[in-house]
Amino acid sequence: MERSKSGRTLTLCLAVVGHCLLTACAAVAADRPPAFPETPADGPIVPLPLALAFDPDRAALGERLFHDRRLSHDSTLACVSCHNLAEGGDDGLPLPGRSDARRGEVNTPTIFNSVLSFRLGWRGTYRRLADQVDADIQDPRLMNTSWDEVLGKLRADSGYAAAFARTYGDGVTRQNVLDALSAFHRSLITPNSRFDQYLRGREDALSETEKRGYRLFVSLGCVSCHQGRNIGGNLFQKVGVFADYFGSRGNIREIDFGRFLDTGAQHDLFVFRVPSLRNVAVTAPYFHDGSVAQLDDAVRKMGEIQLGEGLTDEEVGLIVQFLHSLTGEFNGRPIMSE
Amino acid sequence: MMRATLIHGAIGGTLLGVVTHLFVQSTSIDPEAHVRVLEVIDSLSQAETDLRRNLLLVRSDLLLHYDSVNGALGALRERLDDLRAVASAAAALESDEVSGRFALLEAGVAEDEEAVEQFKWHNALLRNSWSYFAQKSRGVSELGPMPVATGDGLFHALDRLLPAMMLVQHQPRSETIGLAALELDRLESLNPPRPLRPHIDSMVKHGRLILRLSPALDATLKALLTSRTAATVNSLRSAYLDDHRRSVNRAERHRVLLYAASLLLLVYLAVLFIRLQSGASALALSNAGLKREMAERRQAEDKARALQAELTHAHRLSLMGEMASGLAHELNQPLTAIRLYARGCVRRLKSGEGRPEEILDAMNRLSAQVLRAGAILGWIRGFVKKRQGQTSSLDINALVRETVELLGYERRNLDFNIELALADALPRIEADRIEIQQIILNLTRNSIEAMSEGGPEQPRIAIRTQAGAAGLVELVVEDSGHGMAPDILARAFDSFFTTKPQGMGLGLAISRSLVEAQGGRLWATSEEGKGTTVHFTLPVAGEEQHDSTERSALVVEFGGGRSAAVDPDGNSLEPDRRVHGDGLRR
Repeated sequence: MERSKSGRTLTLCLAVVGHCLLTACAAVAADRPPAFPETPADGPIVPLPLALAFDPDRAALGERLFHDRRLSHDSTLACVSCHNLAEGGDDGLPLPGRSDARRGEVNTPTIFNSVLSFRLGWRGTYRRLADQVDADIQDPRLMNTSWDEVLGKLRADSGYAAAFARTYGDGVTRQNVLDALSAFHRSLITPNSRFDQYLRGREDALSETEKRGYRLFVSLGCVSCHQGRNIGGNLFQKVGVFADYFGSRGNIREIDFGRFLDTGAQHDLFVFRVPSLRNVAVTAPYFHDGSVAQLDDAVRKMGEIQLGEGLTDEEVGLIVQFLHSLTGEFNGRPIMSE
Repeated sequence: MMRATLIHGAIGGTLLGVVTHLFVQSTSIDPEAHVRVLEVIDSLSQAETDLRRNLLLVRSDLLLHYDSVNGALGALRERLDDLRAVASAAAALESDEVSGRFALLEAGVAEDEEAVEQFKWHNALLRNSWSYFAQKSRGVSELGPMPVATGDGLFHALDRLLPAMMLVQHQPRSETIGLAALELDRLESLNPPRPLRPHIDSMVKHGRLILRLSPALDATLKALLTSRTAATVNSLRSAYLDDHRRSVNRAERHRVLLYAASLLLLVYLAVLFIRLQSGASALALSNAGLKREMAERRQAEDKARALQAELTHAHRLSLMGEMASGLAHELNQPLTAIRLYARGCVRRLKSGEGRPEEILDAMNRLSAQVLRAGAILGWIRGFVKKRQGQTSSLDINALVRETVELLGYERRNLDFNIELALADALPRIEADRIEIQQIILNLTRNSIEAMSEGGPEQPRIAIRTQAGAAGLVELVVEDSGHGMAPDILARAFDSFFTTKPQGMGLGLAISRSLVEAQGGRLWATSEEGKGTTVHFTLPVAGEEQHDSTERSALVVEFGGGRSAAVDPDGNSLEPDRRVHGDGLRR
């Protein structure tokens, strides 16, 4: 077993490094394709499932709750206020909130496809949607309310009382509200992006430049972190592997400490959950601090801090082209930008 | 009796309690729950294997994303939740052994999860750097012909660096890493020409990162592959199975004990049943004894009653004997009258002067006197006859008057009268006529005798009737005779105690027993030299029926034409009338 494993590893290493050697040592300036899996479907990126299974009654109830402003203390905010399903599933703001007084600390991530991420939130604090909702309901900068207040308001609505009784039997409870929202959450995926169509075998779904952008995305190593069905969203990574992002940005706040805030472990300082790149072209601004408005600037920044080198404008352009092909469809229509 | 019941109750209760306890203890763990627990433990082990397999696939670049690793980790967590739920339903995590393992497993999975995060993070960095390293080495080659001097050195350095890096990837050990580090240093020190510089710098940067991360990553992987989680799952399984086997054995033992206890209970019940049976037969035996005893007692009572009747009869006979001369005188009167009427009739018939109307009138008077004599004889016969007591509803006042009539001769010899003070409107009494007469005669005669022996200056006998306490009628016989001393009074009612030379000493004793037999009471007060008073009470008749036939018969017998002096209820018309010889005798 041990031998066969190392044997396989050896073969693989030989293949990869041998490839490099060949290209390097031969010194032939050829347009050889870079290390790239033969079939896209076996590659690091997996197409989104076209649908996830969910209970339609519960999801319908969840959708009503999602749009209901009574989930906030002064009945001004609903989930949809920040997660605009018509426009990218986020709020299009650097930081959430309509006034400086109650501005959120981190950029609103899109809610689309987040059900497929291994954890929720910029630093991956929550394993389940229910935990995140629990926190947001009580966050003074967000819903600023309590379950008692929310459930009281919902129970006063005979329509809700009847719908919950029909769907759950035991009426409006915290458990059931969370379950309905979770069911609806499962419906918020954006399959069928052009890139997914390409992965599923439609060669002409991508233009040549987009394909070149994808190859670059792979060969530069971006795909090391941005992989899987959500093209990210499934591991932690340090922000600023080769350059100090926060030092150069300045004004370091507690929220920049990342996962360190949850674990207290030194190695988790500035570690964040790698965000999904699904619909990235329509979910500006970028990064947890919402500090970058343009996608090409974001790509450039990532190259600088995670690769340790400035990318050329051509490379950035190619990658941005590729990233545009990651915009999927919600309810059969392509996601639109704000 | 009470104590025995308590003891049997305690024993029975204890046995029942023991049987119930054993029954509860002998219920084995639900086999379905057991199977579910085992299934979940198996799937836990499966998820754990899955995780390790996916980690290996990722590390060997056969898998280029982390979704599967996350999936396996999520499954592992879910199975832990499942196990907690299933185990709490089956009460399987109760023993310290198993719950300790479970806690260990939870901690292990949490540790593994952190290690996996570390692994993904480092693996992504490493893969990134390898890509970039490859990209840059290609970049160097793509830049084309170099100035020979530097180019040669550069290519030479790259020639040596790339195999060294290959070795690192193959065997990330300190020697290979040290070698590659040297080559990196050399490449960096070459001071490459301007267009190559950024590429070389990048290669060196990423190369150094590779050298730093490779051993760390493999250490993490190795730690994960040799994680104690798998071992913990196995030990959890065997601890659970041990626990289960123990509880099955325990249940088995309790089943055997349950059988034994049930047998014991059965035996106990059988013993109780047998005892109940023998108790029942003993009861039947003693019941028969009791019946015999009752019969004997009844016989004795019958004997005593017969003896009492005999005594009573004897007393009546003796009373009759004492009254004999008086009664003879009483009888003599009608006989004399009969003789006179008969002689008158004969004379008138002989003389032939008599008119038939006169003779018929005399004959009628004569036959009335015959009836009167017959009535006296009839009473005597009734009084001395042996008889069974029989009660009837009586008018006490009429009875008193009638009885006093019987003492006619003796009364006429006295130099004083017997006063009768009979209360009006007394209810009728329920008693035996003869016996009540016997008592009144006895008491009255006692008084007469008490007066005859050196009588007092003012001799007096009074008979009173009056309403007594509720439901009773009281009769009092009072004399002003010599009275009794307290010690004599105290013994006056004893049988065979007498102060008279010819007395039997039975009168008062019999009178008292007769009164008490009729439901009344008899007592006496006496003061020596002043007189004696005897009281007795008799119960009122339940239903006041008129005993008219009996009473009118007596009135005919004794009262003759006196019937007018008594009203139909038998009450005296003259409450304080002194009884003298009435018109009949004059």
